Amino acid sequence: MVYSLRHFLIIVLFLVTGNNLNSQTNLNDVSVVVIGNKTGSEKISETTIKEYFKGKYNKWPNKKTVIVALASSNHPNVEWYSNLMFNKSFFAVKKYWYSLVFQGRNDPPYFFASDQELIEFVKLNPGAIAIVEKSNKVPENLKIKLNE
Amino acid sequence: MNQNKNIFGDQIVKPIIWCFFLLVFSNSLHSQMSARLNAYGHIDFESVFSDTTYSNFSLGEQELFINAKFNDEFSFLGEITLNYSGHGNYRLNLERLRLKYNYYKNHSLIIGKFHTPVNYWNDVYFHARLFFPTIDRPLMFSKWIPVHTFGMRLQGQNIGKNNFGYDLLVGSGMGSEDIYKVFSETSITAAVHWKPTDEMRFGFSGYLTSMDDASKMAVHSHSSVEHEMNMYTGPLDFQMLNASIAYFGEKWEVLNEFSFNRTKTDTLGVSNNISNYTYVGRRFLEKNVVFTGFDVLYTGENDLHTYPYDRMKFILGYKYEYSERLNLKAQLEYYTNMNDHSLGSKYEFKIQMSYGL
Repeated sequence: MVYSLRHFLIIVLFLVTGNNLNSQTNLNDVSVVVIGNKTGSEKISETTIKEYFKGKYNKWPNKKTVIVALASSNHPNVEWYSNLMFNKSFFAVKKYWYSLVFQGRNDPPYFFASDQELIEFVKLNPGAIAIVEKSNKVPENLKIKLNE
Repeated sequence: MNQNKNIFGDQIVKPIIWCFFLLVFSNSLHSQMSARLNAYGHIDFESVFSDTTYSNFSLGEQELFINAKFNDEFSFLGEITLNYSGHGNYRLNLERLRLKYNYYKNHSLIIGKFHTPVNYWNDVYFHARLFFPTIDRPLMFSKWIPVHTFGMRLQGQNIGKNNFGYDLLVGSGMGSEDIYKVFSETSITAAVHWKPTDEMRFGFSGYLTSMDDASKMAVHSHSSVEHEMNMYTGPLDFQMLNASIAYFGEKWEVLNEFSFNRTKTDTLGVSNNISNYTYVGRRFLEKNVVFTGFDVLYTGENDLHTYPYDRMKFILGYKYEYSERLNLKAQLEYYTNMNDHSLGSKYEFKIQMSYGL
Protein backbone atom coordinates (compact mmCIF):
# COMPACT_ATOMS: atom_id res chain seq x y z
CA MET A 1 0.00 0.00 0.00
CA VAL A 2 2.76 2.40 1.06
CA TYR A 3 4.78 1.30 -1.99
CA SER A 4 1.85 2.04 -4.34
CA LEU A 5 1.20 5.39 -2.68
CA ARG A 6 4.84 6.36 -3.10
CA HIS A 7 4.71 5.50 -6.81
CA PHE A 8 1.48 7.42 -7.20
CA LEU A 9 3.01 10.52 -5.57
CA ILE A 10 6.12 10.26 -7.77
CA ILE A 11 3.95 10.09 -10.89
CA VAL A 12 1.85 13.10 -9.76
CA LEU A 13 5.00 15.06 -8.98
CA PHE A 14 6.45 14.21 -12.38
CA LEU A 15 3.25 15.23 -14.17
CA VAL A 16 3.12 18.55 -12.36
CA THR A 17 6.77 19.48 -12.43
CA GLY A 18 8.09 17.30 -15.24
CA ASN A 19 8.95 20.32 -17.31
CA ASN A 20 11.02 21.80 -14.51
CA LEU A 21 13.16 18.80 -13.81
CA ASN A 22 15.88 20.02 -16.14
CA SER A 23 18.07 22.06 -13.82
CA GLN A 24 18.89 25.61 -14.78
CA THR A 25 22.34 26.53 -16.05
CA ASN A 26 24.57 28.49 -13.70
CA LEU A 27 25.18 31.94 -15.21
CA ASN A 28 28.82 31.91 -14.09
CA ASP A 29 29.40 28.76 -16.12
CA VAL A 30 28.31 30.24 -19.42
CA SER A 31 29.66 33.04 -21.53
CA VAL A 32 27.19 35.76 -20.51
CA VAL A 33 27.49 38.74 -18.22
CA VAL A 34 24.76 40.57 -16.34
CA ILE A 35 24.95 44.33 -16.80
CA GLY A 36 23.30 47.08 -14.81
CA ASN A 37 23.48 50.85 -14.46
CA LYS A 38 23.58 52.44 -11.00
CA THR A 39 21.69 49.58 -9.42
CA GLY A 40 23.62 49.81 -6.16
CA SER A 41 24.18 46.06 -6.45
CA GLU A 42 27.65 45.44 -7.89
CA LYS A 43 27.64 41.98 -6.37
CA ILE A 44 24.47 39.95 -6.12
CA SER A 45 23.36 36.32 -5.97
CA GLU A 46 22.24 34.60 -9.14
CA THR A 47 18.86 33.77 -7.63
CA THR A 48 18.25 37.40 -6.71
CA ILE A 49 19.27 38.80 -10.09
CA LYS A 50 16.87 36.37 -11.80
CA GLU A 51 14.10 37.61 -9.51
CA TYR A 52 14.79 41.17 -10.68
CA PHE A 53 14.46 39.99 -14.30
CA LYS A 54 11.15 38.32 -13.40
CA GLY A 55 9.76 41.56 -12.00
CA LYS A 56 9.68 40.43 -8.40
CA TYR A 57 11.14 43.73 -7.23
CA ASN A 58 10.19 47.17 -8.50
CA LYS A 59 13.13 48.98 -6.95
CA TRP A 60 16.84 48.48 -6.35
CA PRO A 61 18.23 48.84 -2.81
CA ASN A 62 19.32 52.41 -3.77
CA LYS A 63 15.62 53.22 -4.57
CA LYS A 64 16.19 53.42 -8.36
CA THR A 65 13.34 51.89 -10.35
CA VAL A 66 14.16 48.52 -11.93
CA ILE A 67 14.08 48.68 -15.74
CA VAL A 68 14.27 45.27 -17.38
CA ALA A 69 15.84 45.05 -20.86
CA LEU A 70 15.42 41.78 -22.74
CA ALA A 71 16.40 40.28 -26.08
CA SER A 72 13.66 40.68 -28.72
CA SER A 73 12.51 38.01 -31.17
CA ASN A 74 15.08 39.33 -33.70
CA HIS A 75 17.98 38.84 -31.30
CA PRO A 76 20.08 35.80 -32.34
CA ASN A 77 20.40 34.63 -28.70
CA VAL A 78 16.80 35.21 -27.66
CA GLU A 79 15.93 31.59 -26.82
CA TRP A 80 19.22 31.03 -25.02
CA TYR A 81 18.86 34.16 -22.86
CA SER A 82 15.20 33.37 -22.11
CA ASN A 83 16.12 29.91 -20.98
CA LEU A 84 19.02 31.16 -18.85
CA MET A 85 17.08 33.83 -16.99
CA PHE A 86 13.53 32.45 -16.91
CA ASN A 87 13.90 28.74 -17.66
CA LYS A 88 11.20 29.35 -20.28
CA SER A 89 10.94 29.78 -24.04
CA PHE A 90 10.79 33.35 -25.37
CA PHE A 91 7.11 32.82 -26.20
CA ALA A 92 6.43 31.95 -22.54
CA VAL A 93 8.53 34.92 -21.34
CA LYS A 94 6.49 37.34 -23.48
CA LYS A 95 3.24 35.87 -22.14
CA TYR A 96 4.52 36.11 -18.58
CA TRP A 97 5.46 39.78 -18.90
CA TYR A 98 2.39 40.70 -20.93
CA SER A 99 0.18 39.37 -18.13
CA LEU A 100 2.16 41.13 -15.36
CA VAL A 101 1.87 44.48 -17.13
CA PHE A 102 -1.88 44.06 -17.67
CA GLN A 103 -2.33 43.29 -13.98
CA GLY A 104 -0.71 46.64 -13.26
CA ARG A 105 2.01 45.00 -11.17
CA ASN A 106 5.06 45.96 -13.21
CA ASP A 107 6.28 48.34 -15.87
CA PRO A 108 6.78 46.63 -19.21
CA PRO A 109 10.30 45.48 -20.12
CA TYR A 110 12.16 46.86 -23.14
CA PHE A 111 13.14 44.56 -26.00
CA PHE A 112 16.24 44.89 -28.20
CA ALA A 113 17.50 43.07 -31.27
CA SER A 114 21.22 42.92 -30.44
CA ASP A 115 23.68 42.92 -27.54
CA GLN A 116 24.99 46.32 -28.65
CA GLU A 117 21.50 47.83 -28.36
CA LEU A 118 21.08 46.25 -24.91
CA ILE A 119 24.42 47.68 -23.73
CA GLU A 120 23.59 51.16 -25.09
CA PHE A 121 20.18 51.12 -23.41
CA VAL A 122 21.60 50.09 -20.04
CA LYS A 123 24.34 52.75 -20.35
CA LEU A 124 21.74 55.47 -20.83
CA ASN A 125 19.19 54.37 -18.22
CA PRO A 126 19.98 54.26 -14.51
CA GLY A 127 18.28 51.24 -12.93
CA ALA A 128 18.34 49.21 -16.17
CA ILE A 129 19.57 45.58 -16.32
CA ALA A 130 20.24 43.13 -19.15
CA ILE A 131 22.33 40.12 -20.03
CA VAL A 132 24.76 40.05 -22.94
CA GLU A 133 27.54 37.79 -24.15
CA LYS A 134 30.91 38.20 -22.43
CA SER A 135 32.59 38.65 -25.80
CA ASN A 136 31.06 42.14 -26.10
CA LYS A 137 32.96 45.24 -25.03
CA VAL A 138 31.18 46.08 -21.80
CA PRO A 139 32.33 48.99 -19.58
CA GLU A 140 33.55 47.61 -16.24
CA ASN A 141 31.19 49.86 -14.26
CA LEU A 142 28.17 48.14 -15.84
CA LYS A 143 29.17 44.59 -14.97
CA ILE A 144 27.34 42.96 -12.05
CA LYS A 145 29.30 40.23 -10.31
CA LEU A 146 27.34 37.15 -9.34
CA ASN A 147 27.90 35.30 -6.08
CA GLU A 148 28.25 31.55 -6.27
CA MET B 1 -31.84 58.44 -7.46
CA ASN B 2 -32.04 59.01 -11.21
CA GLN B 3 -30.83 62.53 -10.65
CA ASN B 4 -27.77 61.17 -8.86
CA LYS B 5 -27.13 58.87 -11.76
CA ASN B 6 -27.18 61.74 -14.26
CA ILE B 7 -24.92 63.87 -12.11
CA PHE B 8 -22.52 60.97 -11.85
CA GLY B 9 -22.58 60.41 -15.62
CA ASP B 10 -22.13 64.05 -16.63
CA GLN B 11 -19.93 65.39 -13.90
CA ILE B 12 -17.76 62.43 -12.98
CA VAL B 13 -17.50 59.87 -15.76
CA LYS B 14 -17.01 62.29 -18.66
CA PRO B 15 -14.19 64.28 -17.03
CA ILE B 16 -12.52 61.02 -16.04
CA ILE B 17 -12.66 59.75 -19.61
CA TRP B 18 -11.26 63.05 -20.90
CA CYS B 19 -8.45 62.78 -18.34
CA PHE B 20 -7.85 59.24 -19.55
CA PHE B 21 -7.28 60.40 -23.13
CA LEU B 22 -5.32 63.47 -22.04
CA LEU B 23 -2.96 61.21 -20.14
CA VAL B 24 -2.36 59.22 -23.29
CA PHE B 25 -1.85 62.07 -25.69
CA SER B 26 -0.08 64.51 -23.41
CA ASN B 27 2.79 62.12 -22.89
CA SER B 28 5.12 64.13 -25.10
CA LEU B 29 4.52 67.23 -22.97
CA HIS B 30 5.90 65.61 -19.86
CA SER B 31 9.34 64.17 -20.23
CA GLN B 32 9.14 62.68 -16.70
CA MET B 33 6.01 60.69 -17.46
CA SER B 34 5.83 57.50 -19.47
CA ALA B 35 2.55 56.03 -20.68
CA ARG B 36 1.60 52.94 -22.64
CA LEU B 37 -1.68 52.26 -24.36
CA ASN B 38 -2.97 48.78 -25.17
CA ALA B 39 -6.19 47.54 -26.70
CA TYR B 40 -7.89 44.21 -26.10
CA GLY B 41 -10.97 42.59 -27.52
CA HIS B 42 -12.69 39.44 -28.64
CA ILE B 43 -15.08 38.15 -31.29
CA ASP B 44 -17.46 35.33 -30.39
CA PHE B 45 -19.48 32.65 -32.07
CA GLU B 46 -21.92 30.54 -30.07
CA SER B 47 -24.52 27.89 -30.80
CA VAL B 48 -27.01 26.96 -28.10
CA PHE B 49 -28.83 23.62 -28.20
CA SER B 50 -31.74 23.43 -25.74
CA ASP B 51 -35.54 23.53 -26.31
CA THR B 52 -34.75 25.94 -29.11
CA THR B 53 -31.55 26.10 -31.08
CA TYR B 54 -29.85 29.26 -32.23
CA SER B 55 -26.45 30.62 -33.20
CA ASN B 56 -24.88 34.05 -32.73
CA PHE B 57 -21.80 35.62 -34.20
CA SER B 58 -21.02 38.71 -32.15
CA LEU B 59 -18.52 41.42 -31.41
CA GLY B 60 -17.39 40.95 -27.83
CA GLU B 61 -16.06 43.42 -25.31
CA GLN B 62 -13.50 45.88 -26.71
CA GLU B 63 -11.24 47.77 -24.36
CA LEU B 64 -8.52 50.35 -23.97
CA PHE B 65 -5.93 49.97 -21.27
CA ILE B 66 -3.41 52.58 -20.19
CA ASN B 67 -0.52 52.21 -17.83
CA ALA B 68 1.33 55.41 -16.98
CA LYS B 69 4.09 56.37 -14.60
CA PHE B 70 4.33 59.88 -13.19
CA ASN B 71 7.59 59.23 -11.35
CA ASP B 72 9.24 56.41 -9.38
CA GLU B 73 6.48 56.39 -6.74
CA PHE B 74 3.24 57.34 -8.49
CA SER B 75 1.61 55.44 -11.33
CA PHE B 76 -1.76 55.40 -13.05
CA LEU B 77 -3.77 52.56 -14.55
CA GLY B 78 -7.00 52.93 -16.48
CA GLU B 79 -9.21 50.51 -18.36
CA ILE B 80 -12.38 51.31 -20.29
CA THR B 81 -14.59 48.88 -22.17
CA LEU B 82 -17.17 49.11 -24.92
CA ASN B 83 -19.97 46.57 -24.93
CA TYR B 84 -22.70 46.05 -27.49
CA SER B 85 -26.00 47.08 -25.90
CA GLY B 86 -28.59 46.81 -28.63
CA HIS B 87 -29.07 47.88 -32.21
CA GLY B 88 -26.25 50.25 -33.12
CA ASN B 89 -25.53 51.12 -29.50
CA TYR B 90 -22.56 50.55 -27.27
CA ARG B 91 -22.17 50.97 -23.53
CA LEU B 92 -19.00 52.59 -22.25
CA ASN B 93 -17.77 51.31 -18.89
CA LEU B 94 -14.97 52.52 -16.71
CA GLU B 95 -13.59 49.21 -15.43
CA ARG B 96 -10.46 50.30 -13.61
CA LEU B 97 -9.07 53.70 -12.77
CA ARG B 98 -6.49 53.81 -10.06
CA LEU B 99 -3.67 55.89 -8.75
CA LYS B 100 -0.93 53.87 -7.10
CA TYR B 101 1.62 55.15 -4.62
CA ASN B 102 4.52 52.76 -4.15
CA TYR B 103 5.56 53.97 -0.70
CA TYR B 104 8.05 51.31 0.38
CA LYS B 105 9.69 48.46 -1.54
CA ASN B 106 6.83 46.27 -2.83
CA HIS B 107 4.15 47.91 -0.67
CA SER B 108 1.66 50.32 -2.23
CA LEU B 109 -1.37 52.42 -1.48
CA ILE B 110 -3.98 52.46 -4.25
CA ILE B 111 -6.96 54.76 -4.63
CA GLY B 112 -9.67 54.47 -7.26
CA LYS B 113 -11.76 51.78 -8.88
CA PHE B 114 -10.14 48.37 -9.15
CA HIS B 115 -10.91 44.68 -9.43
CA THR B 116 -11.72 43.30 -5.98
CA PRO B 117 -8.90 40.81 -5.29
CA VAL B 118 -11.20 38.14 -3.88
CA ASN B 119 -9.84 35.35 -6.06
CA TYR B 120 -7.13 34.54 -8.59
CA TRP B 121 -9.39 35.10 -11.60
CA ASN B 122 -10.50 38.57 -10.59
CA ASP B 123 -7.01 39.60 -9.48
CA VAL B 124 -5.16 38.39 -12.56
CA TYR B 125 -7.38 38.21 -15.66
CA PHE B 126 -9.57 41.34 -15.44
CA HIS B 127 -11.43 41.94 -18.70
CA ALA B 128 -9.07 40.75 -21.41
CA ARG B 129 -10.32 37.39 -22.72
CA LEU B 130 -6.84 36.85 -24.08
CA PHE B 131 -5.75 35.79 -20.59
CA PHE B 132 -8.83 33.73 -19.67
CA PRO B 133 -8.14 29.98 -19.60
CA THR B 134 -11.74 29.25 -20.67
CA ILE B 135 -14.11 31.36 -22.78
CA ASP B 136 -16.37 32.40 -19.89
CA ARG B 137 -15.81 33.43 -16.31
CA PRO B 138 -16.76 30.93 -13.59
CA LEU B 139 -20.49 30.80 -12.74
CA MET B 140 -19.91 32.49 -9.35
CA PHE B 141 -19.12 35.75 -11.22
CA SER B 142 -22.67 35.89 -12.54
CA LYS B 143 -24.13 35.58 -9.06
CA TRP B 144 -22.10 37.03 -6.25
CA ILE B 145 -18.47 37.89 -6.97
CA PRO B 146 -18.06 41.66 -6.46
CA VAL B 147 -15.98 42.31 -9.58
CA HIS B 148 -15.13 45.95 -8.85
CA THR B 149 -14.67 48.07 -5.76
CA PHE B 150 -14.23 51.81 -5.58
CA GLY B 151 -12.17 52.83 -2.58
CA MET B 152 -8.77 52.57 -0.98
CA ARG B 153 -6.42 49.60 -1.00
CA LEU B 154 -3.20 48.59 0.70
CA GLN B 155 -1.25 46.12 -1.41
CA GLY B 156 1.93 44.13 -0.95
CA GLN B 157 3.40 41.67 -3.39
CA ASN B 158 6.40 39.36 -3.69
CA ILE B 159 7.32 39.81 -0.06
CA GLY B 160 10.13 37.71 1.31
CA LYS B 161 11.63 34.51 0.05
CA ASN B 162 8.24 32.83 -0.35
CA ASN B 163 6.61 35.63 -2.35
CA PHE B 164 3.76 36.47 -0.01
CA GLY B 165 1.23 39.07 -1.02
CA TYR B 166 -1.61 40.84 0.71
CA ASP B 167 -4.50 43.19 -0.10
CA LEU B 168 -6.59 45.08 2.37
CA LEU B 169 -9.28 47.33 1.00
CA VAL B 170 -12.18 49.42 2.10
CA GLY B 171 -14.65 50.74 -0.41
CA SER B 172 -18.02 50.65 -2.06
CA GLY B 173 -20.35 47.74 -1.43
CA MET B 174 -22.16 45.54 -3.92
CA GLY B 175 -24.78 48.15 -4.70
CA SER B 176 -22.43 50.48 -6.54
CA GLU B 177 -19.08 50.03 -8.24
CA ASP B 178 -18.45 53.71 -8.86
CA ILE B 179 -19.62 55.64 -5.85
CA TYR B 180 -18.50 54.84 -2.34
CA LYS B 181 -21.33 55.86 -0.04
CA VAL B 182 -19.04 56.06 2.96
CA PHE B 183 -21.62 56.09 5.71
CA SER B 184 -24.28 53.86 4.22
CA GLU B 185 -22.65 50.98 2.33
CA THR B 186 -19.10 49.79 2.86
CA SER B 187 -17.29 46.62 1.91
CA ILE B 188 -14.11 45.27 3.49
CA THR B 189 -11.85 42.83 1.67
CA ALA B 190 -8.82 41.08 3.13
CA ALA B 191 -6.79 38.78 0.88
CA VAL B 192 -3.47 36.97 1.13
CA HIS B 193 -1.60 34.91 -1.44
CA TRP B 194 1.55 32.88 -1.61
CA LYS B 195 3.63 32.02 -4.68
CA PRO B 196 5.95 29.11 -3.78
CA THR B 197 7.15 29.03 -7.42
CA ASP B 198 6.72 31.34 -10.41
CA GLU B 199 4.03 29.04 -11.79
CA MET B 200 2.01 28.46 -8.65
CA ARG B 201 -0.16 30.66 -6.45
CA PHE B 202 -2.39 29.93 -3.46
CA GLY B 203 -4.80 32.56 -2.24
CA PHE B 204 -7.43 33.11 0.44
CA SER B 205 -9.78 36.03 0.94
CA GLY B 206 -12.64 37.28 3.04
CA TYR B 207 -15.20 39.87 1.99
CA LEU B 208 -18.06 41.41 3.94
CA THR B 209 -20.64 44.05 3.30
CA SER B 210 -24.17 45.06 4.19
CA MET B 211 -26.66 46.53 1.79
CA ASP B 212 -29.84 48.51 2.39
CA ASP B 213 -31.47 47.35 -0.82
CA ALA B 214 -30.42 43.95 -2.15
CA SER B 215 -32.01 44.55 -5.54
CA LYS B 216 -29.29 47.04 -6.46
CA MET B 217 -26.45 44.73 -7.23
CA ALA B 218 -23.98 46.10 -9.71
CA VAL B 219 -21.90 42.96 -9.27
CA HIS B 220 -24.26 41.11 -11.55
CA SER B 221 -23.17 43.12 -14.53
CA HIS B 222 -20.67 40.45 -15.55
CA SER B 223 -23.14 37.69 -16.12
CA SER B 224 -22.88 35.74 -19.33
CA VAL B 225 -25.33 33.09 -18.24
CA GLU B 226 -28.91 33.03 -17.05
CA HIS B 227 -29.58 35.73 -14.53
CA GLU B 228 -32.74 37.20 -13.15
CA MET B 229 -33.19 40.57 -11.46
CA ASN B 230 -33.36 40.48 -7.68
CA MET B 231 -36.87 41.33 -6.49
CA TYR B 232 -35.98 41.63 -2.81
CA THR B 233 -35.55 45.29 -1.90
CA GLY B 234 -34.82 44.91 1.81
CA PRO B 235 -31.53 44.96 3.75
CA LEU B 236 -29.10 42.07 3.53
CA ASP B 237 -25.77 41.13 5.17
CA PHE B 238 -23.25 39.37 2.95
CA GLN B 239 -20.10 37.52 4.04
CA MET B 240 -17.86 35.58 1.68
CA LEU B 241 -14.76 33.36 1.84
CA ASN B 242 -12.76 32.33 -1.22
CA ALA B 243 -9.82 30.04 -1.88
CA SER B 244 -7.80 29.80 -5.09
CA ILE B 245 -5.17 27.38 -6.31
CA ALA B 246 -3.44 28.21 -9.58
CA TYR B 247 -0.68 26.34 -11.38
CA PHE B 248 0.34 27.38 -14.88
CA GLY B 249 3.39 25.35 -15.80
CA GLU B 250 4.96 24.65 -19.14
CA LYS B 251 2.84 21.52 -19.64
CA TRP B 252 0.05 21.44 -17.08
CA GLU B 253 -2.37 24.18 -16.10
CA VAL B 254 -4.68 23.91 -13.10
CA LEU B 255 -6.98 26.50 -11.62
CA ASN B 256 -9.46 25.93 -8.82
CA GLU B 257 -11.69 28.71 -7.51
CA PHE B 258 -13.78 27.99 -4.43
CA SER B 259 -16.32 30.41 -3.01
CA PHE B 260 -18.62 30.20 -0.04
CA ASN B 261 -20.96 32.94 1.08
CA ARG B 262 -23.50 33.46 3.80
CA THR B 263 -26.37 35.88 3.41
CA LYS B 264 -28.64 37.05 6.19
CA THR B 265 -31.98 38.81 5.95
CA ASP B 266 -34.61 39.64 8.56
CA THR B 267 -37.18 38.00 6.32
CA LEU B 268 -35.78 34.51 5.76
CA GLY B 269 -32.70 34.33 7.98
CA VAL B 270 -29.33 32.83 7.07
CA SER B 271 -28.53 31.08 3.80
CA ASN B 272 -25.29 29.28 2.93
CA ASN B 273 -24.24 29.31 -0.72
CA ILE B 274 -21.35 27.59 -2.43
CA SER B 275 -19.60 27.46 -5.78
CA ASN B 276 -16.50 25.77 -7.21
CA TYR B 277 -14.78 26.07 -10.59
CA THR B 278 -12.06 23.65 -11.69
CA TYR B 279 -9.97 23.96 -14.83
CA VAL B 280 -7.31 21.52 -15.99
CA GLY B 281 -5.34 22.10 -19.18
CA ARG B 282 -2.56 20.17 -20.90
CA ARG B 283 -0.24 22.15 -23.15
CA PHE B 284 1.42 20.49 -26.12
CA LEU B 285 3.67 21.77 -28.90
CA GLU B 286 4.04 24.97 -26.85
CA LYS B 287 1.03 26.86 -28.26
CA ASN B 288 -1.77 24.30 -28.01
CA VAL B 289 -3.84 23.57 -24.91
CA VAL B 290 -6.58 21.00 -24.51
CA PHE B 291 -8.64 21.62 -21.42
CA THR B 292 -11.55 20.44 -19.39
CA GLY B 293 -13.49 22.08 -16.60
CA PHE B 294 -16.26 21.61 -14.11
CA ASP B 295 -18.22 24.46 -12.61
CA VAL B 296 -20.91 24.14 -9.96
CA LEU B 297 -22.99 26.69 -8.08
CA TYR B 298 -25.60 26.12 -5.40
CA THR B 299 -27.60 28.63 -3.37
CA GLY B 300 -29.79 27.88 -0.37
CA GLU B 301 -33.59 27.78 -0.45
CA ASN B 302 -33.89 30.92 1.67
CA ASP B 303 -31.33 33.07 -0.13
CA LEU B 304 -32.57 36.51 -1.09
CA HIS B 305 -29.37 37.71 -2.73
CA THR B 306 -29.15 35.39 -5.71
CA TYR B 307 -32.32 33.39 -4.97
CA PRO B 308 -32.45 29.58 -4.96
CA TYR B 309 -30.40 28.43 -7.90
CA ASP B 310 -28.29 25.46 -8.80
CA ARG B 311 -26.29 24.82 -11.91
CA MET B 312 -23.55 22.54 -13.09
CA LYS B 313 -21.44 23.09 -16.15
CA PHE B 314 -19.04 20.69 -17.87
CA ILE B 315 -16.46 22.09 -20.24
CA LEU B 316 -14.26 20.54 -22.91
CA GLY B 317 -12.14 22.78 -25.07
CA TYR B 318 -9.08 23.60 -27.10
CA LYS B 319 -6.98 26.74 -27.26
CA TYR B 320 -4.46 27.71 -29.89
CA GLU B 321 -2.12 30.59 -29.02
CA TYR B 322 -1.13 32.02 -32.35
CA SER B 323 1.06 34.52 -30.49
CA GLU B 324 1.11 36.03 -27.00
CA ARG B 325 -1.36 38.60 -28.33
CA LEU B 326 -3.75 36.47 -30.34
CA ASN B 327 -5.46 33.23 -29.48
CA LEU B 328 -8.38 31.10 -30.50
CA LYS B 329 -10.53 29.00 -28.18
CA ALA B 330 -13.20 26.44 -29.04
CA GLN B 331 -15.35 25.05 -26.24
CA LEU B 332 -18.19 22.60 -25.78
CA GLU B 333 -20.32 23.12 -22.66
CA TYR B 334 -23.04 21.08 -21.05
CA TYR B 335 -25.29 22.70 -18.45
CA THR B 336 -27.49 20.78 -16.07
CA ASN B 337 -28.91 20.97 -12.52
CA MET B 338 -28.71 19.07 -9.29
CA ASN B 339 -32.22 19.71 -7.92
CA ASP B 340 -34.07 22.52 -9.62
CA HIS B 341 -34.81 21.41 -13.17
CA SER B 342 -36.71 24.51 -14.23
CA LEU B 343 -33.72 25.85 -16.13
CA GLY B 344 -33.31 22.62 -18.06
CA SER B 345 -30.21 21.10 -19.59
CA LYS B 346 -28.49 22.43 -22.64
CA TYR B 347 -25.38 22.20 -24.77
CA GLU B 348 -23.42 25.19 -25.99
CA PHE B 349 -20.67 25.33 -28.54
CA LYS B 350 -18.50 28.43 -28.57
CA ILE B 351 -15.58 29.80 -30.53
CA GLN B 352 -13.73 32.90 -29.40
CA MET B 353 -10.92 34.85 -30.98
CA SER B 354 -9.27 37.16 -28.47
CA TYR B 355 -6.51 39.68 -29.08
CA GLY B 356 -4.35 42.31 -27.49
CA LEU B 357 -2.54 45.12 -29.31
